[in-house]
Amino acid sequence: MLNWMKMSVAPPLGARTIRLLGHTMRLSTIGAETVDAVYRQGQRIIIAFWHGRQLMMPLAYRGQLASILISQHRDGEIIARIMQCFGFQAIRGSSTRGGLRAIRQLVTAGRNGGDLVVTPDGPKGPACKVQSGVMYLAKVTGLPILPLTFACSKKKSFRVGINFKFPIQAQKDCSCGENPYG
Amino acid sequence: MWGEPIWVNGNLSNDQLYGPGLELERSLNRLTAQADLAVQDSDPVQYFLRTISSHDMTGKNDTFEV
Repeated sequence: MLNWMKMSVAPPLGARTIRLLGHTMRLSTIGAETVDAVYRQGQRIIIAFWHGRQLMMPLAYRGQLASILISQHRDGEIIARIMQCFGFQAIRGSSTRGGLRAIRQLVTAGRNGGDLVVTPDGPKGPACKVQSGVMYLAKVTGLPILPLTFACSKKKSFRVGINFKFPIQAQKDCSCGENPYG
Repeated sequence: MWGEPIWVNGNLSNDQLYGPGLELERSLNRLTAQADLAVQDSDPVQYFLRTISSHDMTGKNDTFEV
């Protein structure tokens, strides 16, 4: 029953919570012209952000089709389903489990014209240290890596994965992004 | 906050990927620090505290227009 709740109720609830949080913030984007210029050239991209800054990232995405790397841990399943609510395709794997297969799937997705989304420090860290997987991905696909980050004025840090930041106060400025395609 | 694109040469060996990896790491850390600083100013209490703490109380640096 608890498992059913986690897998069926939590994902849509989580997606709505993120959207609701987004509505309570004054979102502003800095440097969006860079990524828009890359898109205008018909180029797909690899989006990279630290694991601890991932919460509001679905609202920052400016493209139309993206595959996101998510660990095979059972919590990863919830995150994968939340991401699917935002239209992302989840590819499961990490450096500790299913990494090679996930890299192959990401390469295929990148070559088929989609964007790729990764957290280069992964769920286990060390935090804010780039692991080799994302660099290998960029080398093989030839796609540029676009660094992305998010900040908010009021937040609470949790020990979920590595130093997870959760915005807690509404009506505060957030440096994130808005999807121009709606 | 978006950063500048980082291109990785396809001819690099796996050992040589360390350089672009370090560039990505620095870029992400710099962006994150800038983003944190950018939203700090939106907190009126923090902004006030930083303003008064950085103010030169001797007034030596004040400029006046006549």
